[in-house]
Amino acid sequence: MHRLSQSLLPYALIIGLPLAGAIINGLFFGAQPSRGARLTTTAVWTGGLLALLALIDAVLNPGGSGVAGLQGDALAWLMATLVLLVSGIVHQFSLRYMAGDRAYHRYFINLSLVTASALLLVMADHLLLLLLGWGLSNALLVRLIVHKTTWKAAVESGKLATQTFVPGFVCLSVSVALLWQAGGTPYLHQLVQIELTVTSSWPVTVALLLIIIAAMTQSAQWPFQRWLISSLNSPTPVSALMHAGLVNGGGLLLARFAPLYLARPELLQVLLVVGGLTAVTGTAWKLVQNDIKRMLACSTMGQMGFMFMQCGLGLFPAAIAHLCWHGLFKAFLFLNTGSAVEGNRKPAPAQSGGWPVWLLAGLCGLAGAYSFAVLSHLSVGVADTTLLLTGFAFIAATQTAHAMLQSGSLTSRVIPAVVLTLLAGALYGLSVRAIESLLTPLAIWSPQPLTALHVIVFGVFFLTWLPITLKLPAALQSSPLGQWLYVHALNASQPHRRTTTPTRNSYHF
Amino acid sequence: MEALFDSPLRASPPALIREQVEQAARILAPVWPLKTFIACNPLQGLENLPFDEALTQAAGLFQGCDTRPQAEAVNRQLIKWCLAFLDEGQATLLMPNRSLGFYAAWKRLAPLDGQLHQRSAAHKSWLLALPDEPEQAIGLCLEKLAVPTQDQHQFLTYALTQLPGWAGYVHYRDRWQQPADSPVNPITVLEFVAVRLVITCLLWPTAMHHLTTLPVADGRVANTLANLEQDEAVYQQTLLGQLLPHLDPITAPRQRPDAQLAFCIDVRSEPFRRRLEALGNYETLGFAGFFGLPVRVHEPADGAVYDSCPVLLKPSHDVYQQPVGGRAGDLARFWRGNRVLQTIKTVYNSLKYNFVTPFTLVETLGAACGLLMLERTLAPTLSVRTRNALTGAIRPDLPTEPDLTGAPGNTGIGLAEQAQYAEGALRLMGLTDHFGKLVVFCGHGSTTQNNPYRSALDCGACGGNHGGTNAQLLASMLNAPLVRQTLAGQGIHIPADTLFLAAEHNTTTDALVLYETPQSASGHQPLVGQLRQALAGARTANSATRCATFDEGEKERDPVGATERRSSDWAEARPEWGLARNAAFIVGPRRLTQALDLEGRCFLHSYDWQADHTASHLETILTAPMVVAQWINTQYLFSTLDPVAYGSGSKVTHNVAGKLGIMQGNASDLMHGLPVQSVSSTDDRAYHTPQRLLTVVLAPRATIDLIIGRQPVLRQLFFNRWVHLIALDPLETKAFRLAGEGDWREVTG
Repeated sequence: MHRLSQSLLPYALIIGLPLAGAIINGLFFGAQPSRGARLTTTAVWTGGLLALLALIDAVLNPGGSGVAGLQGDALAWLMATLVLLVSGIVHQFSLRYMAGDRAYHRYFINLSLVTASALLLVMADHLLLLLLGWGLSNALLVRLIVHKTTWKAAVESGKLATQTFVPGFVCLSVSVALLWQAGGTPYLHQLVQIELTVTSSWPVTVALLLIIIAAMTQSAQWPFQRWLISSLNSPTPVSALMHAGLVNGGGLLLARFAPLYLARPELLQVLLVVGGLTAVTGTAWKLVQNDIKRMLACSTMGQMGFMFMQCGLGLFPAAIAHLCWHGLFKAFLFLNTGSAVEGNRKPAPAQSGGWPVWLLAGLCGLAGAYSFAVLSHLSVGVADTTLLLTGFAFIAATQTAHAMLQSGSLTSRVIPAVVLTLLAGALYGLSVRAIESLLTPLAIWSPQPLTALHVIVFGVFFLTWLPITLKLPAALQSSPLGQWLYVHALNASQPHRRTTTPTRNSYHF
Repeated sequence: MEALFDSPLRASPPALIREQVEQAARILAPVWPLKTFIACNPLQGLENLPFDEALTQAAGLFQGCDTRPQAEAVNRQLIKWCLAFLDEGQATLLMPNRSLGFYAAWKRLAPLDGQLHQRSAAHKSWLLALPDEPEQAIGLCLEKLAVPTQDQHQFLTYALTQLPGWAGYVHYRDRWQQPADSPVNPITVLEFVAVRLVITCLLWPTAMHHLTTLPVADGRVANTLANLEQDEAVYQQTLLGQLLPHLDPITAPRQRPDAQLAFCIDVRSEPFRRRLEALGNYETLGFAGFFGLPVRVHEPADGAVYDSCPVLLKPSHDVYQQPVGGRAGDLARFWRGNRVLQTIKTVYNSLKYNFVTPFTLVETLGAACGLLMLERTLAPTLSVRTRNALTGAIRPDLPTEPDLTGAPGNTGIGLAEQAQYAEGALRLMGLTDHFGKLVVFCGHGSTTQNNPYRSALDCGACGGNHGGTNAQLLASMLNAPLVRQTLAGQGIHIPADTLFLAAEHNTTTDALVLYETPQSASGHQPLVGQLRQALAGARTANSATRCATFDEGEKERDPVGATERRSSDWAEARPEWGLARNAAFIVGPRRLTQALDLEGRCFLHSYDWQADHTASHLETILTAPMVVAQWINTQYLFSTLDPVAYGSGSKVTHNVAGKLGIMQGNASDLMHGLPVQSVSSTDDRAYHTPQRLLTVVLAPRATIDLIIGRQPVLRQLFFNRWVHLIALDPLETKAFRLAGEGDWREVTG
């Protein structure tokens, strides 16, 4: 059977459709921007359908090697599908949301262009194409962030992003050069198969470290998070695209080079520490934010940290699963920020229930974790890093059961709580499994033996979870330490000074 | 500079400080939270000045904020702390000690804030030694900043006008919020000023030297004024040309109408009324949409509580909406379903706002979110229907009826009071005889998705809420036999076959839904059926007109579907035009305007001067509904004139802050006023025509003079030219414009 991934046509169409849409829109629809926008939106949706077909084809006929410097494996098509799905939604959403905007025409051209460049990035096999896709995506993203060009704060947001992206790009360029030199090939699929002796040489080590830095700048890992938290001067759909798409670039990059990292466990530990630190910091900042968009931005930072951790555990497919599902979740929340006024959160009940509730919740948590492990085909009882995933599932399932058990009389809630945790665990397991099984041919799922570091990381996570769940009394929060922590979290998570709009008339639209 | 922080204290007495801040705060217009968005004149504090002078002053105060780096640094810190303190439910970990009040809570954290003390030991110890009372702090700071006594008013005014949005919101919290709401984060303007001045001492100790007389605006104001006056003159000419031919009273015998429908005075009622009247033997009336009932409504399902009356009134009754089950077991299923929905929400929030658990939450729900986004984006109408169907499957969608009896500890409405309210409403809307077989009170509200300005589209007379409950209340009062008996004693004889119904007019889709009652299913069924048909017809006709007002050249084959799409689409920045293009407030009988197409630009209040012997009705109309109309009018006016200083800028970069207001992007002043998308078709083309309210009253000039003489608020609005007044004098059948005290000049169309 003729394989889709062996012919140039699907690649050309999928990258070409948004590109052609942008060009045609730019050349011929200056006077009718809304018709041009509709045209280019149709092109993006069409590309999305094609990518989905190609993904299905790649799953049914694995082993495609790609053409002309582009990859045709499941990861490439999966990411292309994700990019086009989110981009299609953002295009469609913007048709209405941006209506009447002065820069409507330019906005849609940039939106379609950034889609094309992101597609180039996710499908690149040749290192220079990868670099090109990376650089173009970042440049276009900056253009989208600075949508209101007369608004100083927005321009500053763009500058700040540029100041973070440029070093990232330089790091990536240098590592590309080093890897090409060391591996003797510019093709990714060949590079990742190079011998162990080569991977431990110093140029490769440097290259891998530089790739980590590049990934950190893109995925807003501490200490490179400032640009993301200060990027909220962009239009809402751009934020959705950014948080569902472009910040994930770091995760994709790591997954693409995963075999090289798996050969270097000490580098995995670097990823684990960076990710863990960012995950805890981002989540803590998220909880103190008072406006919806910065809350979401800090949350993304934390989630990206978790993705890095999953890479650090040697479970790259889990990181890709996280990237996909978090992307959709966050895009939804961003597009929905207009509803933030509604949905008042009721203050949680002051008491956290007695020990019987906790015991029951813990049992439900075990059930949920078990159902997660079974459905995601994890081995229960083997002391490797997958145990951490099961551990996180246990915490979440316990939390679910606890909230459930507290919401009514205990006896009437036990059965629903058990059912809910089993179902949620199963759904969680299936979500992860779905992506993992797509990526099996890449062989980048490699659980690592547990070390003290893993135990410490899990311990830290568990300890951060406890206080909120136990609803430690407000007195603790107004203690000197609580106050100190609060003020520092608040200050550290402020957007960059220059990207705020401190006076009314420094705002322009 | 260090020496500045060691200077001896010679502060002014606290009482004097309070007085000074109070005086300076008069410049502020209150800013309501988004949940109950109340239109308000951003120049309210300047209404004691003639309109043109107010414009000039405001240009200096609000349109040219201080953009020097030190001033901006102070603003940034104030924004940070205001947002943290005022948060109404966004953050999970809240600012500590909020119950102590803004100043006290802030004072405890300030010494820890490196952005404030800049790691200077002197600053830190100064912050630690701040006095306990905000008045003392203000006195201390004025001293430190070396503000001479004669400049203190100007300096305090400056302090309050640099962030007019946040200051206005604090002003609302301080002065306008119903005190019963017992906030967990009390704040006063005094505290706001205190915190601002302390920050100024730290970050801009030389502020006083830079306080220059603010630049008074150039030719811009004159230009604006000239444009306004021209538009107003043209409109006045057109409107009078339309109205004057209908001034002669027609004494044709009236047929008993099949139904009378009372709508809110809202400008969006007029086009619908016109179309409905064309479709049958129907009369319509205009009345304030809260139907004269100052109530606080409690919703059963989510426990929401809101004041359904104008913000100028305090609610005097508690009313509980209760679900009504048709079949046995309905109620039980309702409450069971309600608990399930609440539990889902609780579990979701407990996972989302926590450590660790959000990581697994997103992986579990990611796919569902993707599908949901697809549905909402590609099939918005379907997505809303699906959501409603799903919610309905869990919690049956039962009709609700308000319970007038109140709850223990709360005040319901007794029978005697019911009769009083009913009589008051009927008399004020001029419906005291000649009742139709059906009388329908139509409250109104909007239905939009993903729209932080949702409540700006709801009924302003109901405090930015849906007005259906008030309509239900009045209808049920008037159906009560005892109330009718009492009314008969007062000379209002309601025929036994007259049935009062309630309805809610959805201003986004023009669907007008009658509330089901047992009686509507009885003998009136055929009439009700006909009315429903007519309502559907009016909806279709009005939707077609509405579609034409939106750009993109929407040639809609299905206007009803198109408006429903607008109402359901989460991406829609212009779900409806709200009260844009509002221009006039017409007080008079419907026959004056019935034949006219007023293009949805007029507030219509029913009024019959011959039935108003003491002029008390007119007095009420001019001092309550007209004032609300003026608030709305000025809000649209100024949001259009300057979308940055008085409006909230473009929606595309809006950021909902603290669940109470809007910031632009990362952080900004609280953007009060309306977004560009509410008043403009595009960034550069306004849809709303900025003009001052033109009030037209069909009543003798002498009566109007009498009322103006009694009411300072009217003297201010009319004589300072915030509102234009034209009397259609029935005694001479001529129109007169009020040019000054007792100075009426005849105008012709």
